[in-house]
Amino acid sequence: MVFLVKKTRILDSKQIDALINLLSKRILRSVKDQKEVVLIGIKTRGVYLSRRIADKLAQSLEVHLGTLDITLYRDDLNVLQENLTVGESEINFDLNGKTVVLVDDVLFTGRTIRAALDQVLDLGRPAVIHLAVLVDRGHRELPICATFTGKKVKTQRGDRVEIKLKEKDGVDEAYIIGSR
Amino acid sequence: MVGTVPRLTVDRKRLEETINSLARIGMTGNGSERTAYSIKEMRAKDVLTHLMRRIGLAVKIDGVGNVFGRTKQGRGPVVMIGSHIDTVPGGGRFDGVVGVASGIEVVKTIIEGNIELRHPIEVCAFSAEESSRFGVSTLGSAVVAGELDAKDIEPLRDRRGTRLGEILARLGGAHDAINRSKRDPSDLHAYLELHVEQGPILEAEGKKIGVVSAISASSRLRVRFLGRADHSGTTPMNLRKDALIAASELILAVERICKSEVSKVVGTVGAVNVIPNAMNVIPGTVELGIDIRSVVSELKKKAADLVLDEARRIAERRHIGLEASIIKEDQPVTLNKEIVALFEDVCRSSGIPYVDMISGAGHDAMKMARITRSGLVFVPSRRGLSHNPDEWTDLGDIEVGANCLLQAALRLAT
Repeated sequence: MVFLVKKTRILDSKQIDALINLLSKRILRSVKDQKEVVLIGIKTRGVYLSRRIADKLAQSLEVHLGTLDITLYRDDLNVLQENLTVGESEINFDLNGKTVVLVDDVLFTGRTIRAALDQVLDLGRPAVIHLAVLVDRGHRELPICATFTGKKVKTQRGDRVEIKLKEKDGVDEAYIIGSR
Repeated sequence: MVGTVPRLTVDRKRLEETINSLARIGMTGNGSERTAYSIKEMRAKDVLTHLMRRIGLAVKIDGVGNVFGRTKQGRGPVVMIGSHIDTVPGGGRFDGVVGVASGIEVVKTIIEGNIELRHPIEVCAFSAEESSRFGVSTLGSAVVAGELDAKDIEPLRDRRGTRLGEILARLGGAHDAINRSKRDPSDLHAYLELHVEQGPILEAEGKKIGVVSAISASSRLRVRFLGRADHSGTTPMNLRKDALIAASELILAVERICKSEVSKVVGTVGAVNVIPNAMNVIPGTVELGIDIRSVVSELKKKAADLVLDEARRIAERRHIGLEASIIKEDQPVTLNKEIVALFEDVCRSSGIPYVDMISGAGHDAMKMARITRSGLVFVPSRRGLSHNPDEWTDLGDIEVGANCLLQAALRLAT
């Protein structure tokens, strides 16, 4: 049997760059009356995005940058099969009372974000938590939405959205991969 | 160590927040439940790494999941301040957490006070201090002290059959990483631990600090009386071989023997297995599990020998069989005299009412005492309650304990 897989490019390097600019501007606008903001990138690609956004925000306000590994908070965690490590999240500052922006590449079911929220709230008590995503592909399974969205993309439930970023993949590109 | 020691004090509010942020993970009504190597315990360790990094400590996690946070300042051997954050099932909010949270608060206070450290300070949370999951207590510190290694702990299984070796491998603690967790005595300047008393003495005596000079150890005896199971209605009293009556005599003898060495030995028959345990059958076999503890090895041995002699006499007199043996014999630990004196001096000079005491329960300090000068101080437990969700220690008392730890750490590390 042959499965036909269709791979459609939805973003090129220029467009990704423009979206990161857009997200940065929106974040900046929403926190413009504050002296500092916390950006927390969700591993793996959210981390790279958060760094790029931080570079852009750093000219205007103080940015604290952290990373989150949500493994221990996943709702489908199989403790008997997976490698569980401690201390993979790196947040070297106090979160209490801060304005936090979680950053991820794709917003899909919302389950990753639920895990991230629970984890952040175990680490401290921020004043506000926002969410910034590069792509929102729909099909939410939890009542979660992003505060800042780069691009909304229509997908089938079974499609895969693949974001490639220079820091990890050598190139900035985004694809929808689905059987047709 | 001569000269004026700066009178820094810990921040009570911040200490409370740190305790809460750890105790909250796995909260169960009043208490906390974070079984060793469970998701809850790992999340608490994750929070702990954050608390450590937040105050500028460099975090390291060894092959058995012990978490260490080290000051960037100071050179050479470290002053370690440790305890644990795992709990028994249905545990309380304070057991272990108080020591780790106070360690963090002590270091934060020192950093904020711009105190120059000669020796680095390392705050540490040892894994699996409680034996409830794998049957071995103070496992993490025992590995650090070199008392246990990978081949000892990898085969351990919990009640569900999960092998500790598998858990550690998934944690990144493969065989070699476990063995690399052993610390060299030359790395360590001293080890300090603050713990809740888990007993009633401090409250009864109205003292704020217990300076522990020794930690008692236990001898565990298994005694099996082999009588004969008979019909409870048809067997005349003079023809019976009732194993439970023999066992009852021995239970009373354990109390008598241990009471004769007042306050030096404690003895408990905590396990009784009656076979067949039916109302209409004379007990044929009874198995007793006896725990005898003391800080004096000789007294503990003497008490255990007396109990075994008594068991023989009872069995002979009642013409029934006996199988008896010592199944475990640990050695009591004497804590370092210099550190004990240091804690006493800190209490005296700070006007803290203290009492010298021995610990009836095991603690990580007793393992660390194998490789470095180690000291342990207690803060009061309300009604002596511990390993219970209602376990309680007043924040003010924890603050006193943390300040005591702070002064001791300052004298050792500056």
